[in-house]
Amino acid sequence: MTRLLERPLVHFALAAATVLVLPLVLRSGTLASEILIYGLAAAACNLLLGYTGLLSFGQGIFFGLGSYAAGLLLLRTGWPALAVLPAVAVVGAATATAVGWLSIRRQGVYFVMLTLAFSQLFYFLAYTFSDLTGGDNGLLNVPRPMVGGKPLSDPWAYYAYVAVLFLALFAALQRVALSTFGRTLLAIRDNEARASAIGFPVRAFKVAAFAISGAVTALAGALHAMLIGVAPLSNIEYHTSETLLIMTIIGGAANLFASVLGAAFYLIAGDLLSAIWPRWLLLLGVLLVAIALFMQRGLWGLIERAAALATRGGAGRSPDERAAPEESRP
Amino acid sequence: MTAAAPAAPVAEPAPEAALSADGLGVRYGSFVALKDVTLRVRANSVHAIIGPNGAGKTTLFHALTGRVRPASGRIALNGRDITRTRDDDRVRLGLARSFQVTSLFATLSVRENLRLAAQGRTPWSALAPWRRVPERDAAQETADALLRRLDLAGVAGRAAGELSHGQQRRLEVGMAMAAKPRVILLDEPTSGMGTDDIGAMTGLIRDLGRDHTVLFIEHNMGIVMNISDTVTVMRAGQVLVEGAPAAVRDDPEVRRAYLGNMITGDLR
Repeated sequence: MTRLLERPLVHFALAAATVLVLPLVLRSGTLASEILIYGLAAAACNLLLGYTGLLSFGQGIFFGLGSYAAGLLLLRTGWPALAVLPAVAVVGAATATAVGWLSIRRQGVYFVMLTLAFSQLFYFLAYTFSDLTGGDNGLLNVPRPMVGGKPLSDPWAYYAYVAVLFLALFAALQRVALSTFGRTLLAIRDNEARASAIGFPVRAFKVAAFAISGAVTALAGALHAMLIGVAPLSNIEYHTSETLLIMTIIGGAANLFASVLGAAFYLIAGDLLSAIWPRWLLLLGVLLVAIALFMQRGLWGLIERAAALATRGGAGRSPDERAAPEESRP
Repeated sequence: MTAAAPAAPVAEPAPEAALSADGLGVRYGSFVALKDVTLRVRANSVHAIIGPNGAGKTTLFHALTGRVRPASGRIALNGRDITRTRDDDRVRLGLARSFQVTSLFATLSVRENLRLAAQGRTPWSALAPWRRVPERDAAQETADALLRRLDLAGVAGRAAGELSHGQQRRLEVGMAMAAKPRVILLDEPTSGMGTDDIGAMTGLIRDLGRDHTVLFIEHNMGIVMNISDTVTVMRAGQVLVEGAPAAVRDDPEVRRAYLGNMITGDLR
């Protein structure tokens, strides 16, 4: 069973199952769509954090820009959503390439500081150019995509639209993670100096990881703007970067489905707890402390441990004791 | 000037150096780590660098492989100036190294470590986010061959960080070999090894010298004296003496530098 949990196909099946299960357990189609959208953005964040070892506070930039780009293109060009989305991906990739290219010139704390600085910079750019972005109010009246001549105004109809894109992008990210490129990213995460010493142009790989992450994050931002009908200033705020990082860490690093799990956990817990107690984020703080101290592999680590316990005697050893699998994590 | 006068000794044409450094200087801030180091490593020879701690041996390796930028001087690989070439580009030109402090991809499998090191020769082909790692390709074959040669086949699937020290040191050298370099630099390949492992490593370095150019740093004088063609002695960032093992061993300067008691080892 523990071996099963390492197979890429199983991870895709879990993502597909999530898509099918959410409508059965949630009453709000908006919340369900949000889970898939943030799951996608967290998985893209994981490509940097879990696979490449880059703690980027810049993810909110790409998410917010994706929202704005989608809103502006839909409102001003009249292009259909399916033409807007590729353009949004290009905007996300290009911005991430620029931010990444400059930020990776430094390592560790200074890298993190640079991404934070860019995050602030883009926030104030969005705030300043209110003609384009709507400033504090956000860019209003972002339309839902049209299918068969009608907008997908029903939440569950839009959920289906998001779900198709989610699965396609999840599969694409899996492909990236399993590729020669993804496996080299793991090497860079493990030991950057050695990766460079054996001949890999580490910077080019990091920038490429940024570009892919930025493209997917921007697409998630676009889907979010179409979901709530507005591209809000808060999407490009530093807080969005933080939320995406927290979702990624709660889920578990270097595992794409874990990020979906982390997003689902964060959003559902927030939905339930905020109704009972407005200060629920305090509990989230406690949870993060617990994860940082005792379960660094996140929720996915718990699942693996449970699976190892369930099959004890068969496999015997917990995933932590086992050697890293040959076909590295998806 | 008559014909009877003995002819001046004709200088032998210098055999082409696979790797050379001229007037190399490296500074760390105001500290001069290397000063005017000139080195010729003959092709297909085994060349040892020895010297007390802090002599600048590892800094010399860092400069030769591009990890640190020299403040002065010139480095050439097979006659080509590589002084300003980036470290990863030097691998493609045929220069690979191992590290004094083991430096592996600790969470990745042993086979994956070697596959990556073999792939490092054609790194741009790895920058393909859509391409799967092929079941069989040149990099996988290199990895498999090295697993057998380094006696690591039994632990191929284990994470590199879980290996014993001796196994990690072998993998460390294997990572340099995987790039199939023409010139291979080994930084204290036997450091911390047990006696049995040292014997195997010595044999490996000697074998490498047959079809590679080997430059290695070593503290174990037995190994240095047994398998080197040339020995360079460094002290305080400079080259003290260079020559054949026997000549170096008997050099009074070297004896003084080493207090006369560290150089033992049998000569071949």
